[in-house]
Amino acid sequence: MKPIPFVSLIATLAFASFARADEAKPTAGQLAFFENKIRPLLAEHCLECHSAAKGKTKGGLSMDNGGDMRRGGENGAILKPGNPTDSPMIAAVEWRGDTQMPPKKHLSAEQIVALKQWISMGAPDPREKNVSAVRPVLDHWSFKPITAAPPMPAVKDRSWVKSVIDPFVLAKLEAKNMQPAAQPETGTPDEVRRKKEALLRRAYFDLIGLPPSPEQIRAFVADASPRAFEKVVDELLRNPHYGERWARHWMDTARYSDTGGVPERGFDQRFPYAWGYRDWLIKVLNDDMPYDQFILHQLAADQIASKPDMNWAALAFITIGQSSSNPDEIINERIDSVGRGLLGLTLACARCHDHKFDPVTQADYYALHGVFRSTTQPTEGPVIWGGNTASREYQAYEGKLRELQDHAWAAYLHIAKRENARMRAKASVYFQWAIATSKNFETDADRKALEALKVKLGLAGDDSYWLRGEFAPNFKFNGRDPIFGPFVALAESSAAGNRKYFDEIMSGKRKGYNPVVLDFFKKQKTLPASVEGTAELFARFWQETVAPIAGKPVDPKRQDFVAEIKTGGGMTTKIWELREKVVGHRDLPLMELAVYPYRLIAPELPMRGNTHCKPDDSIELKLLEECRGHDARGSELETVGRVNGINMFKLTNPARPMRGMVVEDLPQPLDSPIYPRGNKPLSSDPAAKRLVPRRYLEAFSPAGAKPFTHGSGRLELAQAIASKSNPLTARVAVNRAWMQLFGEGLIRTPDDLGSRAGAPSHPELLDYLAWWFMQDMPGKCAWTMKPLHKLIMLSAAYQQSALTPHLAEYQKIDPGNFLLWRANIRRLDFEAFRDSMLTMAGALDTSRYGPPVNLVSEPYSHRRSIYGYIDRANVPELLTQFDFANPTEPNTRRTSTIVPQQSLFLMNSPFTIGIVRRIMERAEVKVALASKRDDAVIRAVYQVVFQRTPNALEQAKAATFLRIETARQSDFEKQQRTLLAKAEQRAKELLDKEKHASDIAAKAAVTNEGTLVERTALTPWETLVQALLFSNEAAYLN
Amino acid sequence: MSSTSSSNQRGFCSGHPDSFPSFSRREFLARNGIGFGGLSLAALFGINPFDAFADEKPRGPLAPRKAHFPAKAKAVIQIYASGAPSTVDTWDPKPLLNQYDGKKIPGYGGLALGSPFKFSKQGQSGIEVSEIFPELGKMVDHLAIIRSLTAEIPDHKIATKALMTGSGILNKPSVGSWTVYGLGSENQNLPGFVTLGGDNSNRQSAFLPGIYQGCNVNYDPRLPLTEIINNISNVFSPAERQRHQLDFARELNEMHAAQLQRDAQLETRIQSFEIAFNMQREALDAFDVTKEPQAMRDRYELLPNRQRNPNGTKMLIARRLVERGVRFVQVTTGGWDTHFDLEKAVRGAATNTDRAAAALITDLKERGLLDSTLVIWGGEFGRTPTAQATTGVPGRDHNGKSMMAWMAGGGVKGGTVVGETDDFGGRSVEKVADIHDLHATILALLGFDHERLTYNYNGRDFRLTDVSGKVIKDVIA
Repeated sequence: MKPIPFVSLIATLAFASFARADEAKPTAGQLAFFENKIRPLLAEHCLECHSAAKGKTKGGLSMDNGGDMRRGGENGAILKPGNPTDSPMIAAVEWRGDTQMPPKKHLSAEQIVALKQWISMGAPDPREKNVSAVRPVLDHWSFKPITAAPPMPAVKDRSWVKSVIDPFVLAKLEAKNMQPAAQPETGTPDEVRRKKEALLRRAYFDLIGLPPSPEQIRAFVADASPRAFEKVVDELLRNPHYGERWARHWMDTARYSDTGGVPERGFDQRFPYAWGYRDWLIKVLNDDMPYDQFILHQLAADQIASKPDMNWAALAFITIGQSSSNPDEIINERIDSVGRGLLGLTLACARCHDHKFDPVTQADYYALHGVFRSTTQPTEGPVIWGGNTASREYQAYEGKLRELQDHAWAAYLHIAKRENARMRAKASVYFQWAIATSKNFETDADRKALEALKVKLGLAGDDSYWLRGEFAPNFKFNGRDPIFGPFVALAESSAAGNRKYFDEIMSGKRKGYNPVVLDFFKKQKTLPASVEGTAELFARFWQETVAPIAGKPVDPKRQDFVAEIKTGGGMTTKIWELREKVVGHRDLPLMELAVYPYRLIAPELPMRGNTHCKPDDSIELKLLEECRGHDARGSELETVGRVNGINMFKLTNPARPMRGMVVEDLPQPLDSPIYPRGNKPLSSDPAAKRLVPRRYLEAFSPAGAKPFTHGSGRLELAQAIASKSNPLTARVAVNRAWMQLFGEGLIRTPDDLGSRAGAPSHPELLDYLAWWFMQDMPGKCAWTMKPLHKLIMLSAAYQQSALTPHLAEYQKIDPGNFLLWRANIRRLDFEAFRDSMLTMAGALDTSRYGPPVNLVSEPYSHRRSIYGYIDRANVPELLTQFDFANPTEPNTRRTSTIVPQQSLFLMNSPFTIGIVRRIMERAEVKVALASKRDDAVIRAVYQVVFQRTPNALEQAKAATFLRIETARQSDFEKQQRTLLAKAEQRAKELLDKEKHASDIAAKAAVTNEGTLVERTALTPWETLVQALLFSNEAAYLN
Repeated sequence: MSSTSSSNQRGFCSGHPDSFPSFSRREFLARNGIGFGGLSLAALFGINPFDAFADEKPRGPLAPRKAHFPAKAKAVIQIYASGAPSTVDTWDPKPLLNQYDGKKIPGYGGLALGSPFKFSKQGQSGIEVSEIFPELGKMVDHLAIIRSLTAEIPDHKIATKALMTGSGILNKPSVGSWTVYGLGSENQNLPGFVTLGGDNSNRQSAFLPGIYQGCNVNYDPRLPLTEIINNISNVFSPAERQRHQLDFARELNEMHAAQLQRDAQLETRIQSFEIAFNMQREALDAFDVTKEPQAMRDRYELLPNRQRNPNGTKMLIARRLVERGVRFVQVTTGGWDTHFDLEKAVRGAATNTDRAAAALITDLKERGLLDSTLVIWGGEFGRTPTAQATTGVPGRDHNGKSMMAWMAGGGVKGGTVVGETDDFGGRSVEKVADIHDLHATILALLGFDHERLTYNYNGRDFRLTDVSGKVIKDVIA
């Protein structure tokens, strides 16, 4: 804000307004006014520049709460409660004076009136004082309770109505004088056939994600009974492929991945048991587990069944997210997944400040933070299925696993001990090498000199850890290392021209050095002045000081042995003290030396949320973090390959039991404080003492609701969500079901039904469906999904055609088809498209469940796409090109884009070629080929690819195409011969490389069995079939 | 599976040049930035579907578009000097610093570290250039050197993200994404934004549609060209056969589209096959530097010691891409994190840039492309004029209070120095500019008012410069 005159006057006003601020409590009506009119206005137009919470207070003005608003900015108060005309804020928004706010965009007249009204009321502001004060629920459609079915609207054309859904749809259309598209049973016989074919295809892909067979199409077209379609829907709902289709939708919501993310500091992030969650989803969706149960299990299965059972797999909804070394990030990720995934609320927005648009306070966020803070994750979950302990296979598996673990540990110890001993034995040589390589060496001359030094020092293969600079990956060989540092400083003093750095170490000005080393230096009468001399001294140090204690190192098997030295930044006394406290060892410096530079700790430390880790003990947590970090660096050694090998083994061994990615409650659950601006307060900060009790969102809780009392509160949280009185849960669920069946939801942001989401296209219909969904009715239990799908699919709205005579006109009125005046034309998503290609090839492996397969590399898997291995850190390019949901956060709505890489996949990928060849190998095609009649073959491949008969024109075009290709075949074969031979060799090379990769971390997690697609030229028939696959008909639903 | 019909949520806002029609961001989060033009906008966003067939100009998110006002620069080559280059050793001579060598500098912690390099006046402009840039020195009359930049947080990761996107913390679209969003691309058969190396965040489109994300090509001379883009190589069938297949499929698609009332997305998909077909040739060609005369390769690639410089190859590829109409190319070069052994480290990094960057400028000029191509060189922050407290031969520590960049070509006033640092080069003092100002300037050179190039996301109009940014007018000719 620019200076405005009469500052002193305004200051007086400010004083006056402070006096008023504590007056009468605002009424409920006033608060509602604020919530509906003022809060959104401030959030949208003011807080961007005037918010202490956001860190921007232009003109010294924050508008975060009532106190701030009354205090005003550098130029004094902005409000004169009760007197809008004289309030500088009004002058500013009316752009009356020098200060014109918001600077770029004039508020609407309506908004200014609202502001004036609000100031007239005395500017009641519920945000002041207590942030967790109960606020009235916003007047937003999705926040209103669903208590009864909305009345069915009256419609003119009752003949169109097939189900309770249709009046809601038709009424909107009729209001605009629009007509829905035709129903399948109307029109000429040919039209009926075409519409029925389209409808059947739609129903098959929507419910099971696979195309109907030509026979199924024929049967449906021939069935003229009024219940023909209902029969199909019933069959499809019973089809076990249903679970595979709909589990994949939920996996988009649940951010499913087989890894926790990027291998952090080299730490293996593979989830060997993620697929147990996927299989659980398939099973319970096939069983039609009621949606409330579905939620309860995913948040609190461990509190529903006290002993581990298969439903515990559901808990992976919590644990399957993005890994992080920061526990608050993990908690945030879980809150976000509950928010967007289950409630359609962006709860994570309230991490740093109250939600700007929805009634979610920062206190609400930290109430949930406490829930997830009190939820931990054991390193290894309990066995929830499989693992027949009596079986020989199982015992062999367990034996092998133990062996691998012991081996990994032993290998680490072996390397650590060997390299420690080697370092001591060759201290002088290694020291010189380390000094030489710690510098930048970029020119050829440098490299040559280094090579010469290597020869001179006699370094060879045995010294590989040093040569590769991997000897002690935990530190840089520099002056700050607690043990090497003083030696390095001394050696480099000649190059530096003075001994300043070294002297500062010795004088104690630089801290964090191992006292044993310092004592050693103090005992020296003279100090060497060259690198070589220092190297000799370094060698002597190890002989004289460390050798005597080297025989009695601390027992490395002790799990709590965490003598980890943080290097690089020097050591503070504090950390020394802490370390001594935790380790319980008196002579730390000596102990450190004994195991230097490889620390002897367990290589397979718990990853996250481990049971030993008490979140309230930040000291211990920090040390554990350090251990983990150390272990990660150990990964640069060969050990790590073995640690990773353990996860690979668990993932791929067929005898392994399924263990749940479960959670459990802390014995002593903890509340969290509000983190100011999202930053964790230091324990000394008074803010750290202000705890929020664990509870559900205040604005959505009944009056007088109590904080959670049962453990972490997860079950209570789940119950609050999976409740008929929760206004969001059912609306979110039915909207998603609608979206999957229509291509678009009634509200098009399925993971955000908050106030920014706007209004649904058919609010009453959405509410009706939500109400219906939650009712027990004859033949239908509350919260079951399959009856809902059936209800929707038996509607005229679902069954209408994609074609309409009013296209041009309606495109203008409602280009987004919000009003549902026709069926949407939809591109198949990645899974449906790939699965349908495999179906055409007759190659689809229809087995259910099991460990993940590789979806993208040769040899190709023929399992359904849902069984693909998904690494969220590295989602295969092919999938992202086909709009696969980003598995890092809830993403229920797939986008549908068309990029040329999709075409390249069909044109050039060996996968497509493999499909094409298998189509030509199908029995019916072979029979046709044997008949030597081209028209029969064309008919056969049309049936396979499009599930229909070609018309005469199509027959003729295909025949011409074939003739031309046949004529040129030998030329083409010749042309491609060299390329193909090369490509074949390269494919073999890559596969071989993959098979023999020694670095397990870099290896693909899953490699399928099978053979490579042959690199040979296509035949004319194959060329034709591939061209059919290019066609839109194979990729679209209508 | 989602429908193609668009929602009426706002996407492109009215602030967009060319008043781009509205569409939903969600409609179309393509995950790769590969070329896409010729596709009908209608097909993508489900609006005005009949326009799709109305004219033959490329339409869609990569179609070339006009900026807010006429400008010379049509393409950008950003050379990212990763690691944060020292300023006082490169483009900001400080004689006083050398006088203080080894002594305490007033107002600074630590001891002065004089620059080991000689500076001499170069070109008509007589700007002083460090001896480590013998070839770039000859180009100085083309350069506008900004000496007075600052970086908020001198941490590599954060500052790099800020340099590339304007925000070190939040996920915002990168400069290249904004540029292609604003201008589209001149070549519909190649990605509009290509990066040669660097982190994902350097090319992220964030909330902008995915088509604007940089397509990273990890150019590696050891890999066959056919593996730089998935499935780019037509091994199984010759182009002639594929052409026949596409023509045949197009006929089938015509019949199919006629049955479906010519739904626009169907036409989009047909065209995407055409683009894919052309890409096979164009992409392979663009990345194939062996098609350049040996003398040209030598200009870019040869180091003084006769070894080959991969940075040179990347800059040559950058030129080949810009020549083909790619809008924004980002080349990541490294070696500038010179904590130790100052002289050797800085000289090494400079050598790996000098000839290659000079060759790029000369080559662009010879081809008449320099006027329309903005070349930018710079890192994520600057370095201290004082010695880093280390043992051995010292280098310089991180410093956000001063940093520099140079620009050349596309509307840049060559032979200019903008801004000043204090006597020791550690703090920008005159015409101080931050990363938003730099971004505002880049957009201005491309013809955009940075305050009007906006995208509506989550109910707010976002822009590259957030709520700040002042154009550094002195660099504009």
